[in-house]
Amino acid sequence: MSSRWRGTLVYVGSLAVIGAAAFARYELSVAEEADAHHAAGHHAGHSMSPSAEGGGEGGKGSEKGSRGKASPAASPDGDGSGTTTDGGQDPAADQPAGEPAAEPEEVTITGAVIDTREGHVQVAVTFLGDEIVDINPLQAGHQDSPHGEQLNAEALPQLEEWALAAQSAQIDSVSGATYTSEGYKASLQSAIDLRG
Amino acid sequence: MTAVAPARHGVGREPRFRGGGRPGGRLRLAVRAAVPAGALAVTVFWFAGARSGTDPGTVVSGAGDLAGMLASYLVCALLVLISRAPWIERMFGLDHLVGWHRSLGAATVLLVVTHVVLVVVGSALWESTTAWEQVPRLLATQPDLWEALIGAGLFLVGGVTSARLIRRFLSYEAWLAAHLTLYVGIYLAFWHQLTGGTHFLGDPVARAVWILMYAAAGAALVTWRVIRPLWRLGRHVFRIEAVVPESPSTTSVWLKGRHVDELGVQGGQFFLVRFLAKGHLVTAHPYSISAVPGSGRLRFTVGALGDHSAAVAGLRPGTRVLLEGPFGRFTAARTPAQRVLLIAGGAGIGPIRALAEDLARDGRDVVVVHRARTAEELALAGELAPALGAAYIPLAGRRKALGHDPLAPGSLRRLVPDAAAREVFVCGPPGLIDTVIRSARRLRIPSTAVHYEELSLS
Repeated sequence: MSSRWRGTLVYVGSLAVIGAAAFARYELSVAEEADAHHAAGHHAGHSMSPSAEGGGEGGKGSEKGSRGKASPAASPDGDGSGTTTDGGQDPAADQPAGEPAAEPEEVTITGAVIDTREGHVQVAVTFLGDEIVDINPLQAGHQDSPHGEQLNAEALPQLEEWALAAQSAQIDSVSGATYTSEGYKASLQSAIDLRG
Repeated sequence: MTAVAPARHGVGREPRFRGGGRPGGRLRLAVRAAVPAGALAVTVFWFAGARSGTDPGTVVSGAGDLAGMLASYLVCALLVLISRAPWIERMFGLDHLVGWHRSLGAATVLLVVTHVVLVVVGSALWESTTAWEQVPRLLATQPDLWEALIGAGLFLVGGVTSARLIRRFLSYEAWLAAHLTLYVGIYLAFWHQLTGGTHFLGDPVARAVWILMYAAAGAALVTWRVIRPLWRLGRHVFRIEAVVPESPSTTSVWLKGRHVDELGVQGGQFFLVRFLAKGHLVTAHPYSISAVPGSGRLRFTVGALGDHSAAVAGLRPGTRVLLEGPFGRFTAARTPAQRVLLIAGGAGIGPIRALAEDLARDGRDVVVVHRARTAEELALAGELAPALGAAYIPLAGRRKALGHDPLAPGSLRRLVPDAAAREVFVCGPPGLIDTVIRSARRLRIPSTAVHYEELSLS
């Protein structure tokens, strides 16, 4: 005879399965990030050396260069990607990755890696004095989808244009690319904060 | 409620092999294992495609995605369970399938709610807002989410109205209406899975598999719940031949049709009967066969409960009838045992009588115990007594009047001395079934040798 609570039991069982699977995925992610961190740690060591290593420029599509911690006061995106992922692991990366290069006042600062629903977003910001002159997206999310790449191809230039015009991260989001926009702005803001 | 005759059948525990194997036992196990195996496959699929990330937003959202995918998979399983595919029904019995549909249905609705909550919370964690603020943001930015939300609402309505607690207060028609909106809900919620799920974007194979899963479930439903009955209608053309009162509380309905032998009806089975007449069109009643007399006839003996007595008695000969079935495993094929004890109460005499005929024809030793409140209520006694002679034991009279329960262990042993060596089939009101099960246990009849059928298709 069917038990009255069989359905609830099945539900509880599935919760257990979901919990276990999520936990396993979490552990896997921790392991992945630990690996990436070791790589980053090495590179952070190297980028201490002067000149040519304008850290940010070298870092396309990877987590090399410093991982700036998002400054709590300024960043709207307190999802804590900086804090949580780095938590307990790599301390090293609070410094601007670039040393002043040829022109004494030009410096490139790598912003924080922002975890969004659509992947990691990270920008490298080039300052000339106090002015933002260039923003280079190092990671832009949507890594696995062709649709996403197209989205980025449209959204990122737009965001850069707005940011350069506003000279800040207080800009609109591109509609249809909410997460990428939010990540972009947060990473930009973190670089601005680091600049001081 | 539409629980009419027979009030209840029930399938006991799975009968173990009794000298010789039951064919298909392994197949049944395989089919049973298929459902959790599918769930496991879905979980693995989720794992492979889940976003990497250790922040709470990702973890919670990911868990929410998995909950949603499992719920979606279960929806397809639910649809197959009530599709009434004959091969599944023969393996497990409609009552079992309906019971599982109920259980898994409850789990599915809970998983849908879990999915919504987790996804909203996870998304809020990402964007550092509260869950409450996050809902309109999600609705504005994600495709197909409004439809999905409405679909989830319909799921909730369908689930809540089917809960035993609520079901009691609803008429069958009201419950049915709420349950049918689930189809709409399933349709609405389907699209956001493909467009919003990170697992399906950019993975055409996964999309194809998901769509195929739903298409297969839908096809099973349409085939066996729409096409087959309609085809049957045309082929067999059942009409009411006569309506005959058997006792103050039971009425027999004789049907005549073509090619009845094609149906393969066995004694003890039931049909879902829909009379195509005003007032009867909406509901399909589970009625058991009480005789298969041949020459294209079928007889149902229906218990009259409340307003249904007037309804059935008022049916006119010539009315067309839509039959689905035969369903049920309450049959002679259930056991090879040579000695059988059949116990009937009230309108349960219908299937018992048909079963007795099959068993007797098969050369088995049959004893029928017939329990009723008064002697007039002993429907079909006129058929059973001459056929079985002393093996037909009528027990009329209320327990209070008699001073004891004739179905209590001691009394039962006195009436049927070798009861402990018999295989028992019981059909009647729930109280009677419980009494018999308890007595059987006291008489040391193994629980695998007691058969009853639970019949509640709401």
